[in-house]
Amino acid sequence: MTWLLHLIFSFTSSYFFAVLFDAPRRLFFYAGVTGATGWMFSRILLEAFSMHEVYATAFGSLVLGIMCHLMARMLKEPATMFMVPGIIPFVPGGLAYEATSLLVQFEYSASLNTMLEVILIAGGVAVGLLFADFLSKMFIHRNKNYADARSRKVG
Amino acid sequence: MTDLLENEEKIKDVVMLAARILLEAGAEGTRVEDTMTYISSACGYKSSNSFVTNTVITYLLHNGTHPRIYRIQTRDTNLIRISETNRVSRHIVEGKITLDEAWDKLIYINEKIDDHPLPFKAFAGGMVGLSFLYLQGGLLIDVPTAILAGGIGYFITEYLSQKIEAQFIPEFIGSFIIALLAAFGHMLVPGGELSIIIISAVMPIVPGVLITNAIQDMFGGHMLMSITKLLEALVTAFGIGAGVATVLIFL
Repeated sequence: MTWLLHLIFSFTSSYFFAVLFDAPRRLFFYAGVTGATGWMFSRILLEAFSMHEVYATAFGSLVLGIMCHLMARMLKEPATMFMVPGIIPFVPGGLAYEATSLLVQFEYSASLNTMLEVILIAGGVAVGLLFADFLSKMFIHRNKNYADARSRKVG
Repeated sequence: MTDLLENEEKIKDVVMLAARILLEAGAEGTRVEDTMTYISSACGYKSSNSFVTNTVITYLLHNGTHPRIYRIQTRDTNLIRISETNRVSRHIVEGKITLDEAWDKLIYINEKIDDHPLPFKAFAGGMVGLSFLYLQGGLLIDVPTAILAGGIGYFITEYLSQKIEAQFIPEFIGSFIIALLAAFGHMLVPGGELSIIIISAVMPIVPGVLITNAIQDMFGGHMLMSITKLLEALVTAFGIGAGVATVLIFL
């Protein structure tokens, strides 16, 4: 039951974020599916394999990024369409809130500790996306125009 | 000779308009520059150069002509425009449409395609609040508070940022009102968790696009753009934090 609810609500969060960022109507559903895939993967790592949150987030965003590039290839749309709504559940909003709330209570060292954890999780998201980008450039998008544009030939 | 010149000006017009739409809709810098390079090399100019930050576009078709500069005034997020412009540029590269048709389509995208209606987006903001209430581990009795605070807070933030051109103020006032509503709801329906309500209701105004684009630009080797976007995201995040903290001090 918990897993089912997680699936539903991660789908709706990405779906409605696609609305907030003015995605085309035909892509709402696909954005939701992409976001739910990444989030479910990181939840499974976090709870079934009891991984630390930083690693779970990094692998979750890796799966999310690969999914985005596959969707982009399939539907012929830019990968940003799916990445932007999908990445939001990974943003460590709760911890950032906690850090701010500790800061205004003048608990400087506790606030700084929490802030470091926020930075580590955000870095995990970034690394996951980086490797997804790399894998997609190797295996999914072999764009010839891109190679032409970046070639070192003059003229 | 004049034909050639006219053609060059046409290419420049199309490329500049496409780049302008993309940047104003919040695309990442690598995408904008790649699109400009694709269009110009599809038109036969393989050695065009462009440099883009999130406030200015600089573009040179080839070494013998005038360069073009455009200053970007306003930026927001609109994925429809990015998607449509991307389609136009792909069609140009594949040779499916001429430059004149592309110009007409870009004009249409720039002037006619609008955001989704604000009430619909406010509803979506409420639904986002509900979803995050579950994902963050909130309680069932907090559901109405989270939906109301998320929807109303998003509505106010968007409305203000359409009315006034300031960076910090809309997010500050929006998150201030979200925290007030959450505290009020928490008072009426005690027993829930105030912090989780505030976190989930604040989620719709978190600068997610800016953060994602900044990360992607950093890895695309577009350092200046990534720094400026990170700074923009930081200002917004600071506004949200300050708004919430203003309420938290009095609790």
